[in-house]
Amino acid sequence: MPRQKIILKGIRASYGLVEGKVVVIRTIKEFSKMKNGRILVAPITSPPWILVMRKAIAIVTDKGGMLSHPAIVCREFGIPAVVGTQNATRLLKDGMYIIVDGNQGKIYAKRQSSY
Amino acid sequence: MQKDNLLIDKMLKAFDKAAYQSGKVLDPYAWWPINFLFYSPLFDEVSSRSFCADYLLLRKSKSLREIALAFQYPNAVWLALSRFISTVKTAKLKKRERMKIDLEFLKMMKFLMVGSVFCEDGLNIIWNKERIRKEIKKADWIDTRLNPNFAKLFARLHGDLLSLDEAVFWNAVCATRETHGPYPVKWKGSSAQLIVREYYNLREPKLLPFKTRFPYKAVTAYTIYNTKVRFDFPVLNDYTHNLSLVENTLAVFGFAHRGRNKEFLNEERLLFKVCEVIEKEALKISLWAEGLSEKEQVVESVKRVYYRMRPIYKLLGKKWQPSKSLLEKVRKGFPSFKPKRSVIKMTKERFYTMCDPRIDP
Repeated sequence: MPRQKIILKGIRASYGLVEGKVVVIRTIKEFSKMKNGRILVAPITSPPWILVMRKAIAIVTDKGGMLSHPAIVCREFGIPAVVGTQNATRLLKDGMYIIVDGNQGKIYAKRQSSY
Repeated sequence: MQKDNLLIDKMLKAFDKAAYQSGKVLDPYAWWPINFLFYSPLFDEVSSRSFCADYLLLRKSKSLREIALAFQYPNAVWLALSRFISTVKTAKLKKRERMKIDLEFLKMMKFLMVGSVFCEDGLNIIWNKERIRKEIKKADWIDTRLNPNFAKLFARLHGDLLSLDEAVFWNAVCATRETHGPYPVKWKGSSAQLIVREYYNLREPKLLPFKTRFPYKAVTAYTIYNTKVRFDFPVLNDYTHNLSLVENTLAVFGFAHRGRNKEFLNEERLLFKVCEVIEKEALKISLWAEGLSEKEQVVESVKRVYYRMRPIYKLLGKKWQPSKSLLEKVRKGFPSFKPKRSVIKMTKERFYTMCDPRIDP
């Protein structure tokens, strides 16, 4: 794992390690913010969220466990997911560059200079 | 008797893994749109009494094999059993009767499976080698190393199907879905593994308040992965894996049932269209569900608890829906009902005490 600062920990819900830009979406009304290839950060997801989840390269949620909607859907999509972080939507901001480690359930900050 | 005790111990361990350790009991987000278990005191006593009485009535005329065949899939049986495990004590049955029901359901699962009913080895094996051989042979496989977009589109399809299934069935998803495997297979001379995803009822008008034009009754997807991926199935058909599935997909094959016709998902454009249709339907249904008041969500979740038992009611020639009086009782009881409190207090010891049929209430 890269020597980066851990900014969040949660439950490792789906395998994989990716880095990318954050999009924080709190409600369905904000779906239009989502772009392909971004990391989706949400309080929790549910079936209607499939529309934005399929565009994401990884998902981080505040709530949920191993069998919650974001966890089971990400395993099917085959993208990394860290769930139950408690405060991802508060700590992570739109446009932040982060690394999602679905193997360890950790989120790292990626310094601007390194990309 | 010793054998029975051993089976009950294994069943409790499996139920613990699927319901308690997984967070189904304690996590408010484990079920969408609500964790119906939090509200179970509102309907458990009535529902468990009626399930037990109807099941015992059915046993007088039908064999276990007949009932198992009506359920069709082991996960559907397991989902029905899970209702009995957790509520059979409120039905005021004697210890021996409680054990008998649990053991009979395990036997029914055994009829429908080739592998361990408790998925002790992390596998959910339903088909035998001969069936696998035939299925592999008849499939018109798409090599995803030559057509990499298909691996991505099938992953999208898998996620979409799961979401639609959850949108329609809420807490009864496993009553209409079976994900099984991994089956050892050969792909182009090398060892590989097959996972089968069967969504055998994607439409249930009796659970929806509006007419649906959704064209697909069922979708089946076969995916061959290389052996680097390690799958682990708990007793229910949710599974975990250790590597990216898209990157390790070797071949795919799938079809959708449209009326009486089979539509093979062998063109990118068609697959894309099917995904879009599924997503649209999932969105429509979920918006309805999320727009309901909490009280009405509880009422709808009670319907889905009963839906798990519909093969029993079908064999009895009865409607599977809960009675109007029960639903009214739930509505009346809801305002003063304080959920969560008893669930938060749930410890592992309490969980076992509640579920073990050998311990009197």
